[in-house]
Amino acid sequence: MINLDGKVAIVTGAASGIGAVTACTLADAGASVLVADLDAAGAVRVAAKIAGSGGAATAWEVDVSDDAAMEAMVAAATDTYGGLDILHNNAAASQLAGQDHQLEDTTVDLWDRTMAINLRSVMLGCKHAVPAMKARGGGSIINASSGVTHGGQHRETAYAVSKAGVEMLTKTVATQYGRFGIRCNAIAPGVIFHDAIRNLVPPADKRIFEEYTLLPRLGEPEDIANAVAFLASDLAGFITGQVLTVDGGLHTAVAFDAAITAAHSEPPA
Amino acid sequence: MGLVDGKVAMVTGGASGIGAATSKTLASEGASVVVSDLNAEGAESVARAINAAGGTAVGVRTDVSDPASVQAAVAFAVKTYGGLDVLHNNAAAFGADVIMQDFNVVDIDLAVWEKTLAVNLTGALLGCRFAVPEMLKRGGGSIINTASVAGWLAEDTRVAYSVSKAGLINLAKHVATAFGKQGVRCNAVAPGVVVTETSKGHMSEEWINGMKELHSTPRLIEPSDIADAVLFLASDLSRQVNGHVLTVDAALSAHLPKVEG
Repeated sequence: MINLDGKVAIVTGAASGIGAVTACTLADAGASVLVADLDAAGAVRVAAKIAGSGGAATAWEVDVSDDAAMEAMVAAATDTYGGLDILHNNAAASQLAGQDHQLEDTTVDLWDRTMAINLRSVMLGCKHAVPAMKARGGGSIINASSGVTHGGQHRETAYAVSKAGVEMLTKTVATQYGRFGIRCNAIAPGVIFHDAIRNLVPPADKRIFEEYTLLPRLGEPEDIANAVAFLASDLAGFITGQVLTVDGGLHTAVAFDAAITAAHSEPPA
Repeated sequence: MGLVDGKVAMVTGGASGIGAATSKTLASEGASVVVSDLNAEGAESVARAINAAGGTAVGVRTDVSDPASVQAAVAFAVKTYGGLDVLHNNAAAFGADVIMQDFNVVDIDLAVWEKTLAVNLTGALLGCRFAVPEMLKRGGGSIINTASVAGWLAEDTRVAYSVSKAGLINLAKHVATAFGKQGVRCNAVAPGVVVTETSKGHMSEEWINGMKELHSTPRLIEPSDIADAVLFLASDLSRQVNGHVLTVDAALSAHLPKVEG
């Protein structure tokens, strides 16, 4: 197991999906976890689950787009557990994805709300975590990016641009605060089938993901949680400024090459 | 519980530097390790140290540029430990007669180019060629190539080294694409500047200090930093990571150089 004994972690967007699994994984590895989410009741449930299995966790309601709320969140971690070692900026506006279309149909309101929740939030998290981590002699920040940054997108314009921003912010924080022992990395998941989206993905789309994922199975929240735990741990002590892709190879192969190969291959007997 | 309990791993170039560190790390996390190196005595010595510390390891002499030698090493791993789950393609030509003669395209001796590619790149191809069928028998496995930030960032010298490392990155993506569906993952680890006993001899104090400035953390990279990254890629923690280049460079390649003034 990864060992995070004695470390203090904040996970935003931790009431459900990948964030909830990650909060549990970090707690299982020994960290005390502030389970932060706009969904206070959900955060309480996750914190209770962690406490029920012998871990240390506290639920915290936060609007990640709000400066004062993010400052208060970091203060809550340091007040409750004496410091901050790990911040997983995971919260994102997945509820807005359905309204995030091609550029011509992208409204300013949708754009601004997406940037506030996906990108400003990460900036605020880093900004307030850095002084707390400096005080501990270092720390590890892990930002949630996405596989969408590998190339241009046909839709979800605002989402894709916000995640590209998260990656550059990651490198900027790594560059500016590495000398203080603060590492900052991002994780780029492919398609992860967690409860919030499992029933939203049409079967035809799922088959396409299965076809283009290079491994025998699709991604699960545990895959991301394990990658976060690795980057949070001393095992990744010299990894900073990186984007760790956890996508089963979804973006590795040349996609049109597979289509051409399929077009030229004999039909199955 | 170790992160690679019960797995069988082979590390090429395992007698020193990153390979020795990886062999020890994988063994301390529960793997049985075949320490492979051209330097048989060095490989044996690392294996002895692992066994003395309570781990399981055996050394084997391997010339990674020779297909028969690589085939024999993989067969030895399978015979000794019953199969193969992890291969760390780490061997590289670091002799002074190679790396110190690796200049630009105009000045490099063709023999230096060919030797570098034979060891660094063909060696990894051969490792994959003989390891993949064994991994398929086990239902999957994990291959990790030691690449370098020099695989995508150029220098004004060391053309053979850089090109070999670029090749190792694409080799990883190819194997990931070709065999991922059958459970064989393949990734690369890309170190920044690692000061090892071998590489130290090729670096001036001035150069090392300059590199320290370019790395964003308080210290330079150590072999154990790379070993920990290989451990992650070898373990089931990374079971959905495939075709990825994991860079371990303290943000060396993440930023523009800082110019005063």
